[in-house]
Amino acid sequence: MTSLDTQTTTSVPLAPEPKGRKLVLNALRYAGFTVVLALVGYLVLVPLVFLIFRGLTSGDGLALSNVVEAYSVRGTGEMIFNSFAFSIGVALLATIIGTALAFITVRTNAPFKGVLYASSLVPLIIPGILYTISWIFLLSNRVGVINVALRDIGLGFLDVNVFSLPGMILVEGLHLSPIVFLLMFAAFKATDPALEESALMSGASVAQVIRRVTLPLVRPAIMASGLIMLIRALESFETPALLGIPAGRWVFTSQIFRSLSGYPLRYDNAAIYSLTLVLIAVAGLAVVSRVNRRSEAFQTITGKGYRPRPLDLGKWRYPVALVFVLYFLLVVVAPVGMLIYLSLLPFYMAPGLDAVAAFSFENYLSLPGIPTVGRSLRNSLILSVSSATFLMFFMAIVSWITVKSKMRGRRLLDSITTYPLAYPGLVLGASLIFVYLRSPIPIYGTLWILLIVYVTKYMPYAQRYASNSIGQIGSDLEESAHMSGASWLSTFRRIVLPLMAPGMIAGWVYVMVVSVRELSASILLYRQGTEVFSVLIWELWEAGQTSELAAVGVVLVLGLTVMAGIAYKLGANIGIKE
Amino acid sequence: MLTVTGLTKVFKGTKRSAAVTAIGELDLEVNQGEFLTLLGPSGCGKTTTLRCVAGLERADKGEISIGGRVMFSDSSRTNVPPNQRNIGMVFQSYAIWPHMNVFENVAFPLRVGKKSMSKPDLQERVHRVLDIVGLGEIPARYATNLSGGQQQRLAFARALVIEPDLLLLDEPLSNLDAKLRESLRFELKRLQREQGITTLYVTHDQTEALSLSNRIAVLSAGKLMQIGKPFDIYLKPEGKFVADFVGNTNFLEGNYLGHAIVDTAIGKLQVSSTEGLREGQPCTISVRPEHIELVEATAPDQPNTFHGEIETRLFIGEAMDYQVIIGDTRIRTKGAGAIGDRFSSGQAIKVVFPVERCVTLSFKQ
Repeated sequence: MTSLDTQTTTSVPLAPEPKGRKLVLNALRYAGFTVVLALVGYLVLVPLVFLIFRGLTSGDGLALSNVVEAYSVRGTGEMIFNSFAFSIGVALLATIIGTALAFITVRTNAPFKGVLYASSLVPLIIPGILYTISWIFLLSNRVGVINVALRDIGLGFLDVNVFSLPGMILVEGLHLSPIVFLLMFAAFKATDPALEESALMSGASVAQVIRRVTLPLVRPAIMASGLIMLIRALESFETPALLGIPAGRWVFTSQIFRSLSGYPLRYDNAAIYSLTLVLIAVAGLAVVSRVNRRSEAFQTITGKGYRPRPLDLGKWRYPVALVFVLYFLLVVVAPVGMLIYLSLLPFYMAPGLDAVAAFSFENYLSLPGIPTVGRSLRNSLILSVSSATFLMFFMAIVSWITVKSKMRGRRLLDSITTYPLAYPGLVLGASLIFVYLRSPIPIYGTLWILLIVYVTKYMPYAQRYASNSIGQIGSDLEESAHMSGASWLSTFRRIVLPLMAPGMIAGWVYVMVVSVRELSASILLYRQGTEVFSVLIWELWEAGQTSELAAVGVVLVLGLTVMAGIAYKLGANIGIKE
Repeated sequence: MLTVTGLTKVFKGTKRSAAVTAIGELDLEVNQGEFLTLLGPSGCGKTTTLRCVAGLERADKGEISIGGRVMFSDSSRTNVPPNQRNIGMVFQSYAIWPHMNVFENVAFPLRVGKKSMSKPDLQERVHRVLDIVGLGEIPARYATNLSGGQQQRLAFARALVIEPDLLLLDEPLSNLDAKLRESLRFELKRLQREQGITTLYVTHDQTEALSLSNRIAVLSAGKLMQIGKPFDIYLKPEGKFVADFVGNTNFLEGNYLGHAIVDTAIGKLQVSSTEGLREGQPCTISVRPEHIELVEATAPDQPNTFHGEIETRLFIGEAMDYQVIIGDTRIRTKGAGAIGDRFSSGQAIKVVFPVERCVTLSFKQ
């Protein structure tokens, strides 16, 4: 080794370090960093600043008069009550269902676990608006298929009218329950099975093990999931809009929507309600991250990764499996089936032979003739592809800075990129109205503003994909490239980027999927000509064109399923991998 | 005390992996108060055996009984659940419950199941056990704030508190650093001896097995290779596997000539045991490096002395490792370190193989 060293230094004398060049390079890197930080800051912080400005100023400077006014509108108390009753109900329902299913899946030998893995993709591939509309046909008081069936077999007292607070909670809770399932699935998997086995060896019965060891260990994870569901429900728009408004059950989001789309426009009220939601979300997410840190302290898997001994359910195996199948029917088959059923009919008919006789593909064939269909297909494609492409490239750079570089300010950059997590879609839409309505940048009412929405809203997800795939590249790989004489740029291009590619493509597809189904922000910002798919469905619903809507919906769900499948194959962080 | 007969466990294959026979027809007997170690490389079935005894894994065939009580039997379809076997177990990861403090961790086994115990009795018993393992000072500390060694003691206390019939230890020292491991080894031995508790211990570390056990059962691929006292396992290995796995050794292949003489590549070697060997039969001799003596080339001849040359010398602290060439054969030897005779590389020496340390290995393995 030593002899080799002396040889190289003597035979190939190193050129003196070009100090000036290094300085220039450093300056360039910091200039680049500044540009990145400024762009992220512009996208993320400017809407918030405008929102706060709009909310907390009146004609003559800083004032709380808007707050007072917004909260003294008649029915405010009821709105707040509804919002929290709805969110808490959803959180409880989704958390209980999701946790129970996850426990059974991870810790017992019940069969048919596959149907749960399939169900876990539902929130991703069935947009909320389609899900809610399906449920209207399943569970509305007069025509709901389930209601009618229940009445027919004499169980009419079990009727739930979907246009009510319990109905809203049921639909939203079922739609979100797979997310809890995924979170709790991970939590149960992450606890060391030896903790339960040692309790068993101590003489505890199975019930005691569950009550005194298993559940206390995942309690932080349950709390975190519940809180996340609470925030998601508080921010959700589709269910409160489609089910709550007809029932007179107003919540924050539907009030923001009414303030910004009804007449007269009430920008100040919208701003105050939006600020309230952001505050709640920020507080909630802060608690979640604290709780998560606690649950990580509990989740230290050590030892030899022995296959956890599944709880033998004995003769209960098949009854439990029946629950799985029932859940699958309720969460996946019923809504999707209803959508397909509707799409085959010229107008709604109660299920029966008459309906089957009327089946046709007429609705699908008529789609190309509707001008908004072609337009929104084009717009959705343009927007999702460009937001995904831009985000993944941009976040690759951001993540390289936050994960790999030692530049000062990288933590700031990291936290700003995750900030949009606390932005409900509707709030983001409202804020962007405030930013661009009278802005010298003439993008209001164009596709550009929608692109800005998607890029901002999905920045945290794209960043997570990018930083995960970058984090997997050991720094020794880069260092050895540097040692081989590669420059910073060519190291990034020829070593880092190719290694990141699979994770990046998975993230790209994921951002496309979520962009296509985005409704709550798009609904505030679209104009004639810039409709996207989700907006088209909304418009068809408003116009009462249910059959065409269902056909569009089926096509959309199919498309999203294919895309989610591709993302899954590429290792995107969706669903469950065995 | 613990009797295992004909124990067989097969892990069913999946789409991606073939079925694996983890244990095949294993017979084992652990006497009252004995410390028996299951020793073997990873995948030899030792942990599976332990988990079958614990009841955490269900064997396919055979019988397990503890103190005369049948815990598992495939013929009579008996399988006592783990929480009714009255066995204490220390897991490799210790499995300390992070949501309980030290006291609660130890008190848990006394509070669950059908047992009922008055509060003062429970307190008294927990504190006594904590004192035994040396954690009496910190009953209120949370498990997440314990060092590795403390966790290990806590796991031990928790296993002992129910006064189990049998104690199972699953590589309890493997997660500790080397220094701590050594000091806890002494402590473990002391605790086990003082409590007089029948113990089944699983490890892949031969030093642990040799130093702690009354008897060692060496396993390979789910089969029992040899069972016996540590001395016998080390000095009289019955097969190539045991000789090689427990400690280091040199193998010399040869033909038995009769009169305890084996003809090998380095010459005629006198051996200690010739049980079951017939004249002209090929056999293998095992000689441990530390038993081989190196002497000056001028020293007088003794039995089994050969001329050789030092090839490489490694100083490893407590000893000196040599590689010696005798003819075409390379031999490893180990001599007392800095204080012993030092030979340099390339030096011609004489190699002595003490007759009583030249062990012929049976051919059954």
